[in-house]
Amino acid sequence: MDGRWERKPDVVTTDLDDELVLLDPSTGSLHTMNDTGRVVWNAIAHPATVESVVESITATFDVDEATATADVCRVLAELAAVDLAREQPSS
Amino acid sequence: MILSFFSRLIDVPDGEALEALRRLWNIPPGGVSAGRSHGVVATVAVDPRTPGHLDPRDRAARPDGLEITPVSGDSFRVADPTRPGGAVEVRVGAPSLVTVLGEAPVSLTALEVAMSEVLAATGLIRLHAAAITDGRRTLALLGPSGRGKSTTALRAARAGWRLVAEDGLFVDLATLEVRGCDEAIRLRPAAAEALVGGARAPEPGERLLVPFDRFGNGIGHGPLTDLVHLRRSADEEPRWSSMTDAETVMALFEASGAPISVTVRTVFARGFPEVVRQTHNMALSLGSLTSAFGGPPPAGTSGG
Repeated sequence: MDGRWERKPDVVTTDLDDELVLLDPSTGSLHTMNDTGRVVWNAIAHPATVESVVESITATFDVDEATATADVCRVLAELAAVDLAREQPSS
Repeated sequence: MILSFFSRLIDVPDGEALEALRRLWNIPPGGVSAGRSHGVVATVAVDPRTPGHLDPRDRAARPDGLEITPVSGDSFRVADPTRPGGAVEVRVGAPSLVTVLGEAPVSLTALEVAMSEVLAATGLIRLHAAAITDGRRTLALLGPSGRGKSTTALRAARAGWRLVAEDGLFVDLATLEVRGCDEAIRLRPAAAEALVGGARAPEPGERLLVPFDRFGNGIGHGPLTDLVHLRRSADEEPRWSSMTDAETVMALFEASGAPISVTVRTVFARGFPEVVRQTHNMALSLGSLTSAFGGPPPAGTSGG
Protein backbone atom coordinates (compact mmCIF):
# COMPACT_ATOMS: atom_id res chain seq x y z
CA MET A 1 0.00 0.00 0.00
CA ASP A 2 2.57 2.53 -1.16
CA GLY A 3 0.43 4.53 -3.54
CA ARG A 4 -2.38 7.00 -3.07
CA TRP A 5 -5.90 5.87 -2.37
CA GLU A 6 -8.95 7.43 -3.94
CA ARG A 7 -12.67 6.89 -3.89
CA LYS A 8 -14.57 5.55 -6.84
CA PRO A 9 -16.19 8.57 -8.50
CA ASP A 10 -19.95 9.14 -8.32
CA VAL A 11 -20.56 7.10 -5.17
CA VAL A 12 -23.50 8.65 -3.27
CA THR A 13 -22.61 9.34 0.34
CA THR A 14 -25.48 9.72 2.80
CA ASP A 15 -24.32 11.00 6.15
CA LEU A 16 -26.33 9.87 9.16
CA ASP A 17 -25.39 10.81 12.68
CA ASP A 18 -23.48 7.65 13.45
CA GLU A 19 -23.06 5.95 10.09
CA LEU A 20 -22.43 6.57 6.44
CA VAL A 21 -24.50 4.86 3.77
CA LEU A 22 -22.69 4.50 0.47
CA LEU A 23 -24.53 3.79 -2.77
CA ASP A 24 -22.64 2.83 -5.91
CA PRO A 25 -25.01 3.91 -8.70
CA SER A 26 -23.17 1.82 -11.27
CA THR A 27 -23.98 -1.42 -9.46
CA GLY A 28 -26.82 -0.42 -7.15
CA SER A 29 -24.88 -1.87 -4.23
CA LEU A 30 -25.30 -0.33 -0.78
CA HIS A 31 -22.80 -0.30 2.07
CA THR A 32 -22.66 1.17 5.55
CA MET A 33 -19.61 2.51 7.36
CA ASN A 34 -19.04 3.09 11.05
CA ASP A 35 -17.16 6.01 12.61
CA THR A 36 -13.74 4.66 11.66
CA GLY A 37 -14.87 4.00 8.13
CA ARG A 38 -16.31 7.50 7.93
CA VAL A 39 -12.92 9.06 8.75
CA VAL A 40 -11.18 6.85 6.20
CA TRP A 41 -13.80 7.64 3.54
CA ASN A 42 -13.51 11.37 4.15
CA ALA A 43 -9.72 11.17 4.15
CA ILE A 44 -9.68 9.73 0.64
CA ALA A 45 -12.04 12.35 -0.81
CA HIS A 46 -8.88 13.36 -2.62
CA PRO A 47 -6.04 10.93 -3.36
CA ALA A 48 -4.26 10.21 -0.09
CA THR A 49 -1.50 7.97 1.18
CA VAL A 50 -2.06 5.41 3.91
CA GLU A 51 0.12 7.52 6.17
CA SER A 52 -2.10 10.57 5.77
CA VAL A 53 -5.22 8.50 6.38
CA VAL A 54 -3.62 7.10 9.54
CA GLU A 55 -2.92 10.67 10.65
CA SER A 56 -6.61 11.45 10.26
CA ILE A 57 -7.49 8.45 12.42
CA THR A 58 -5.02 9.23 15.20
CA ALA A 59 -6.18 12.87 15.17
CA THR A 60 -9.79 11.77 15.62
CA PHE A 61 -9.58 8.77 17.93
CA ASP A 62 -7.47 7.93 20.96
CA VAL A 63 -5.54 5.14 19.27
CA ASP A 64 -1.88 4.33 18.74
CA GLU A 65 -0.35 4.49 15.28
CA ALA A 66 0.14 0.73 14.89
CA THR A 67 -3.49 0.00 15.66
CA ALA A 68 -4.63 2.85 13.42
CA THR A 69 -2.49 1.59 10.56
CA ALA A 70 -3.94 -1.90 10.87
CA ASP A 71 -7.48 -0.51 10.93
CA VAL A 72 -6.87 1.77 7.95
CA CYS A 73 -5.36 -1.03 5.87
CA ARG A 74 -8.30 -3.28 6.72
CA VAL A 75 -10.90 -0.64 5.79
CA LEU A 76 -9.10 0.25 2.55
CA ALA A 77 -8.87 -3.41 1.60
CA GLU A 78 -12.60 -3.81 2.27
CA LEU A 79 -13.39 -0.76 0.16
CA ALA A 80 -11.22 -2.09 -2.64
CA ALA A 81 -12.89 -5.50 -2.43
CA VAL A 82 -16.29 -3.93 -3.15
CA ASP A 83 -14.82 -1.56 -5.74
CA LEU A 84 -15.53 1.62 -3.79
CA ALA A 85 -11.87 2.70 -3.65
CA ARG A 86 -8.68 1.91 -5.42
CA GLU A 87 -4.97 2.43 -4.96
CA GLN A 88 -3.16 4.42 -7.58
CA PRO A 89 0.23 2.91 -8.32
CA SER A 90 3.11 4.87 -6.81
CA SER A 91 5.17 6.71 -9.42
CA MET B 1 -55.89 16.82 -9.89
CA ILE B 2 -52.64 15.13 -10.58
CA LEU B 3 -52.88 15.73 -14.33
CA SER B 4 -52.86 19.48 -13.78
CA PHE B 5 -50.18 18.93 -11.16
CA PHE B 6 -47.95 17.32 -13.75
CA SER B 7 -48.93 19.77 -16.45
CA ARG B 8 -47.49 22.46 -14.22
CA LEU B 9 -44.29 20.46 -13.96
CA ILE B 10 -43.92 19.26 -17.51
CA ASP B 11 -44.18 21.44 -20.59
CA VAL B 12 -45.09 19.23 -23.54
CA PRO B 13 -45.54 20.14 -27.20
CA ASP B 14 -48.76 18.17 -27.56
CA GLY B 15 -51.01 16.00 -25.46
CA GLU B 16 -49.44 12.71 -26.37
CA ALA B 17 -46.52 12.69 -23.95
CA LEU B 18 -48.67 13.92 -21.10
CA GLU B 19 -51.29 11.30 -21.82
CA ALA B 20 -48.53 8.70 -21.94
CA LEU B 21 -47.33 9.81 -18.54
CA ARG B 22 -50.86 9.62 -17.19
CA ARG B 23 -51.12 6.05 -18.40
CA LEU B 24 -47.62 5.28 -17.27
CA TRP B 25 -48.23 6.18 -13.63
CA ASN B 26 -51.91 5.16 -13.56
CA ILE B 27 -52.67 8.70 -12.49
CA PRO B 28 -56.12 8.71 -10.92
CA PRO B 29 -58.53 11.34 -12.22
CA GLY B 30 -59.48 14.11 -9.87
CA GLY B 31 -57.50 12.98 -6.87
CA VAL B 32 -54.42 15.03 -6.38
CA SER B 33 -53.16 18.57 -6.06
CA ALA B 34 -49.61 19.71 -5.55
CA GLY B 35 -48.33 20.09 -2.03
CA ARG B 36 -46.21 23.01 -3.16
CA SER B 37 -45.35 24.63 -6.42
CA HIS B 38 -42.37 23.18 -8.21
CA GLY B 39 -42.85 25.31 -11.32
CA VAL B 40 -42.14 23.88 -14.74
CA VAL B 41 -39.26 21.47 -14.24
CA ALA B 42 -39.05 19.81 -17.62
CA THR B 43 -39.74 20.52 -21.24
CA VAL B 44 -40.44 17.52 -23.44
CA ALA B 45 -39.25 17.83 -27.02
CA VAL B 46 -39.96 15.24 -29.67
CA ASP B 47 -37.70 14.40 -32.58
CA PRO B 48 -39.93 14.53 -35.70
CA ARG B 49 -38.24 11.37 -36.95
CA THR B 50 -39.72 9.40 -34.06
CA PRO B 51 -42.79 7.60 -35.38
CA GLY B 52 -45.46 7.14 -32.77
CA HIS B 53 -43.21 8.80 -30.21
CA LEU B 54 -43.93 6.27 -27.48
CA ASP B 55 -44.70 2.60 -27.26
CA PRO B 56 -47.54 1.89 -24.84
CA ARG B 57 -46.88 -1.85 -24.92
CA ASP B 58 -44.11 -1.39 -22.38
CA ARG B 59 -46.49 -1.05 -19.48
CA ALA B 60 -47.13 -4.78 -19.62
CA ALA B 61 -43.59 -5.91 -20.35
CA ARG B 62 -40.87 -4.01 -18.57
CA PRO B 63 -37.36 -4.89 -19.70
CA ASP B 64 -34.88 -6.07 -17.12
CA GLY B 65 -32.36 -3.45 -18.09
CA LEU B 66 -32.18 -0.11 -19.79
CA GLU B 67 -29.05 1.26 -21.38
CA ILE B 68 -28.20 4.48 -19.56
CA THR B 69 -25.31 6.41 -21.05
CA PRO B 70 -23.90 9.43 -19.23
CA VAL B 71 -23.27 12.45 -21.42
CA SER B 72 -22.14 14.74 -18.62
CA GLY B 73 -22.80 15.04 -14.89
CA ASP B 74 -26.41 16.10 -15.39
CA SER B 75 -27.12 14.78 -18.88
CA PHE B 76 -27.69 11.20 -19.94
CA ARG B 77 -29.39 9.08 -22.56
CA VAL B 78 -31.80 6.20 -21.85
CA ALA B 79 -32.37 3.47 -24.42
CA ASP B 80 -34.46 0.35 -24.20
CA PRO B 81 -32.75 -2.67 -25.80
CA THR B 82 -36.14 -4.08 -26.73
CA ARG B 83 -36.92 -0.93 -28.77
CA PRO B 84 -33.73 -0.37 -30.76
CA GLY B 85 -33.53 2.91 -32.60
CA GLY B 86 -35.38 5.03 -30.07
CA ALA B 87 -34.06 6.77 -26.98
CA VAL B 88 -34.71 9.54 -24.50
CA GLU B 89 -32.10 12.21 -23.88
CA VAL B 90 -32.27 14.03 -20.58
CA ARG B 91 -30.73 17.22 -19.26
CA VAL B 92 -31.39 17.73 -15.58
CA GLY B 93 -31.34 21.41 -14.75
CA ALA B 94 -33.60 24.41 -14.41
CA PRO B 95 -35.66 23.75 -16.39
CA SER B 96 -34.84 20.23 -17.45
CA LEU B 97 -35.11 19.09 -21.04
CA VAL B 98 -36.35 15.65 -22.02
CA THR B 99 -35.97 14.85 -25.71
CA VAL B 100 -37.72 11.86 -27.24
CA LEU B 101 -35.59 11.00 -30.24
CA GLY B 102 -34.78 8.39 -32.82
CA GLU B 103 -36.42 6.68 -35.73
CA ALA B 104 -38.30 4.07 -33.74
CA PRO B 105 -40.92 4.17 -30.98
CA VAL B 106 -39.48 5.05 -27.61
CA SER B 107 -40.44 2.91 -24.64
CA LEU B 108 -42.51 4.32 -21.83
CA THR B 109 -40.06 2.73 -19.42
CA ALA B 110 -37.24 4.88 -20.77
CA LEU B 111 -39.44 7.96 -20.50
CA GLU B 112 -40.39 6.97 -16.96
CA VAL B 113 -36.74 6.87 -15.94
CA ALA B 114 -36.17 10.25 -17.55
CA MET B 115 -39.17 11.93 -15.94
CA SER B 116 -38.52 10.38 -12.54
CA GLU B 117 -35.01 11.79 -12.62
CA VAL B 118 -36.03 15.34 -13.52
CA LEU B 119 -38.82 15.32 -10.92
CA ALA B 120 -36.39 13.95 -8.32
CA ALA B 121 -34.11 16.90 -9.03
CA THR B 122 -36.91 19.12 -7.66
CA GLY B 123 -37.28 16.99 -4.54
CA LEU B 124 -40.25 15.01 -5.80
CA ILE B 125 -39.14 11.40 -5.39
CA ARG B 126 -40.89 8.43 -6.95
CA LEU B 127 -40.80 5.34 -4.75
CA HIS B 128 -41.68 1.76 -5.58
CA ALA B 129 -43.98 1.39 -2.59
CA ALA B 130 -47.54 1.00 -1.42
CA ALA B 131 -49.06 3.48 1.00
CA ILE B 132 -52.04 3.65 3.34
CA THR B 133 -53.46 6.31 5.62
CA ASP B 134 -55.99 6.57 8.42
CA GLY B 135 -56.08 10.35 8.20
CA ARG B 136 -53.69 10.70 11.10
CA ARG B 137 -50.78 8.59 9.95
CA THR B 138 -49.60 7.76 6.45
CA LEU B 139 -47.47 4.63 6.04
CA ALA B 140 -45.30 3.83 3.05
CA LEU B 141 -44.77 0.09 2.62
CA LEU B 142 -41.36 -0.57 1.07
CA GLY B 143 -39.83 -3.75 -0.24
CA PRO B 144 -39.01 -5.57 -3.46
CA SER B 145 -41.76 -7.12 -5.56
CA GLY B 146 -43.27 -10.17 -3.91
CA ARG B 147 -42.74 -9.04 -0.33
CA GLY B 148 -46.46 -8.46 0.23
CA LYS B 149 -46.92 -4.70 -0.27
CA SER B 150 -50.21 -5.12 -2.10
CA THR B 151 -51.54 -7.76 0.25
CA THR B 152 -50.62 -5.71 3.29
CA ALA B 153 -52.26 -2.61 1.81
CA LEU B 154 -55.36 -4.59 0.99
CA ARG B 155 -55.67 -6.00 4.48
CA ALA B 156 -55.27 -2.49 5.89
CA ALA B 157 -58.00 -1.24 3.53
CA ARG B 158 -60.32 -3.96 4.72
CA ALA B 159 -59.61 -2.78 8.27
CA GLY B 160 -60.73 0.77 7.38
CA TRP B 161 -57.50 2.41 6.19
CA ARG B 162 -57.58 4.42 2.97
CA LEU B 163 -55.38 3.31 0.10
CA VAL B 164 -52.90 5.91 -1.15
CA ALA B 165 -50.81 3.81 -3.51
CA GLU B 166 -50.33 0.18 -4.41
CA ASP B 167 -47.11 0.10 -6.39
CA GLY B 168 -45.80 3.63 -6.87
CA LEU B 169 -45.97 6.99 -5.14
CA PHE B 170 -44.37 10.40 -5.14
CA VAL B 171 -43.09 11.92 -1.92
CA ASP B 172 -42.19 15.58 -1.68
CA LEU B 173 -38.98 15.79 0.33
CA ALA B 174 -39.81 19.33 1.49
CA THR B 175 -43.23 18.55 2.94
CA LEU B 176 -43.25 14.71 3.05
CA GLU B 177 -46.60 14.91 1.24
CA VAL B 178 -47.34 11.57 -0.42
CA ARG B 179 -49.32 11.18 -3.66
CA GLY B 180 -50.15 7.81 -5.09
CA CYS B 181 -49.72 6.75 -8.71
CA ASP B 182 -52.32 3.98 -8.67
CA GLU B 183 -56.07 3.63 -8.88
CA ALA B 184 -56.28 -0.12 -8.50
CA ILE B 185 -54.59 -2.77 -6.43
CA ARG B 186 -52.96 -5.71 -8.21
CA LEU B 187 -53.22 -9.07 -6.54
CA ARG B 188 -51.60 -12.39 -7.21
CA PRO B 189 -54.14 -15.16 -7.81
CA ALA B 190 -53.67 -16.76 -4.39
CA ALA B 191 -54.09 -13.46 -2.55
CA ALA B 192 -57.05 -12.48 -4.72
CA GLU B 193 -58.79 -15.75 -4.03
CA ALA B 194 -58.24 -15.43 -0.30
CA LEU B 195 -59.09 -11.75 0.06
CA VAL B 196 -61.55 -10.74 -2.64
CA GLY B 197 -64.69 -12.82 -2.67
CA GLY B 198 -66.28 -13.53 -6.03
CA ALA B 199 -63.37 -12.13 -7.99
CA ARG B 200 -62.77 -13.21 -11.55
CA ALA B 201 -60.00 -15.78 -11.67
CA PRO B 202 -56.99 -14.18 -13.37
CA GLU B 203 -55.19 -15.82 -16.24
CA PRO B 204 -51.99 -17.68 -15.31
CA GLY B 205 -49.30 -15.13 -14.50
CA GLU B 206 -51.82 -12.30 -14.52
CA ARG B 207 -52.64 -10.12 -11.54
CA LEU B 208 -56.18 -9.22 -10.68
CA LEU B 209 -56.90 -5.47 -10.67
CA VAL B 210 -59.20 -4.38 -7.84
CA PRO B 211 -60.08 -0.64 -7.97
CA PHE B 212 -59.45 1.34 -4.77
CA ASP B 213 -63.12 2.38 -4.93
CA ARG B 214 -64.06 -1.22 -4.20
CA PHE B 215 -63.16 -0.64 -0.56
CA GLY B 216 -65.38 2.40 -0.16
CA ASN B 217 -62.77 4.50 1.63
CA GLY B 218 -61.71 6.67 -1.31
CA ILE B 219 -58.15 7.50 -2.30
CA GLY B 220 -56.09 8.94 0.50
CA HIS B 221 -53.10 11.22 0.73
CA GLY B 222 -51.22 12.96 3.47
CA PRO B 223 -47.80 13.66 4.93
CA LEU B 224 -45.63 10.61 5.36
CA THR B 225 -45.34 9.54 9.00
CA ASP B 226 -44.05 5.96 8.88
CA LEU B 227 -41.69 3.95 6.68
CA VAL B 228 -42.34 0.23 6.88
CA HIS B 229 -39.88 -2.18 5.27
CA LEU B 230 -41.52 -5.51 4.48
CA ARG B 231 -39.51 -8.65 5.08
CA ARG B 232 -40.11 -12.36 4.92
CA SER B 233 -39.54 -14.70 7.81
CA ALA B 234 -40.25 -18.30 8.65
CA ASP B 235 -42.47 -17.20 11.53
CA GLU B 236 -46.14 -17.91 11.16
CA GLU B 237 -47.22 -14.66 12.77
CA PRO B 238 -46.38 -11.19 11.46
CA ARG B 239 -43.85 -9.41 13.64
CA TRP B 240 -42.84 -5.78 13.96
CA SER B 241 -39.21 -4.90 14.67
CA SER B 242 -37.14 -1.76 14.80
CA MET B 243 -34.98 -0.56 11.95
CA THR B 244 -31.82 1.53 12.15
CA ASP B 245 -31.50 4.81 10.28
CA ALA B 246 -28.96 3.22 7.94
CA GLU B 247 -31.30 0.33 7.17
CA THR B 248 -34.09 2.81 6.46
CA VAL B 249 -31.94 4.88 4.11
CA MET B 250 -30.96 1.69 2.31
CA ALA B 251 -34.64 0.77 1.97
CA LEU B 252 -35.31 4.23 0.50
CA PHE B 253 -32.51 3.79 -2.01
CA GLU B 254 -33.92 0.39 -2.98
CA ALA B 255 -37.37 1.90 -3.47
CA SER B 256 -36.21 4.95 -5.40
CA GLY B 257 -33.62 3.31 -7.61
CA ALA B 258 -30.10 4.56 -8.05
CA PRO B 259 -29.89 8.25 -8.98
CA ILE B 260 -28.35 8.94 -12.35
CA SER B 261 -27.45 12.62 -12.38
CA VAL B 262 -25.15 14.52 -10.06
CA THR B 263 -28.02 16.77 -9.00
CA VAL B 264 -30.25 13.89 -7.93
CA ARG B 265 -27.41 12.17 -6.09
CA THR B 266 -27.11 15.31 -4.01
CA VAL B 267 -30.87 15.52 -3.49
CA PHE B 268 -30.99 11.93 -2.22
CA ALA B 269 -27.88 12.23 -0.05
CA ARG B 270 -29.24 15.35 1.68
CA GLY B 271 -32.93 14.49 1.65
CA PHE B 272 -33.08 10.88 2.81
CA PRO B 273 -31.53 11.51 6.26
CA GLU B 274 -34.16 14.20 6.85
CA VAL B 275 -36.95 11.81 5.87
CA VAL B 276 -35.59 9.19 8.23
CA ARG B 277 -35.39 11.67 11.11
CA GLN B 278 -38.99 12.80 10.63
CA THR B 279 -40.64 9.38 10.33
CA HIS B 280 -41.13 6.29 12.44
CA ASN B 281 -39.20 3.47 10.84
CA MET B 282 -40.16 -0.15 11.30
CA ALA B 283 -39.66 -3.54 9.69
CA LEU B 284 -42.63 -5.86 9.29
CA SER B 285 -41.84 -9.55 8.86
CA LEU B 286 -44.88 -11.07 7.26
CA GLY B 287 -44.27 -14.78 7.51
CA SER B 288 -46.44 -16.62 5.05
CA LEU B 289 -48.86 -14.65 2.88
CA THR B 290 -51.79 -16.39 4.50
CA SER B 291 -50.85 -15.11 7.95
CA ALA B 292 -53.16 -12.53 9.42
CA PHE B 293 -52.01 -8.93 9.04
CA GLY B 294 -51.29 -7.76 12.52
CA GLY B 295 -52.75 -4.27 12.18
CA PRO B 296 -50.94 -0.96 11.97
CA PRO B 297 -47.53 -0.57 13.61
CA PRO B 298 -47.35 0.40 17.25
CA ALA B 299 -46.86 4.16 17.42
CA GLY B 300 -43.64 5.48 18.83
CA THR B 301 -41.87 2.17 19.17
CA SER B 302 -39.08 3.29 16.89
CA GLY B 303 -37.91 6.80 16.36
CA GLY B 304 -36.75 8.23 13.12
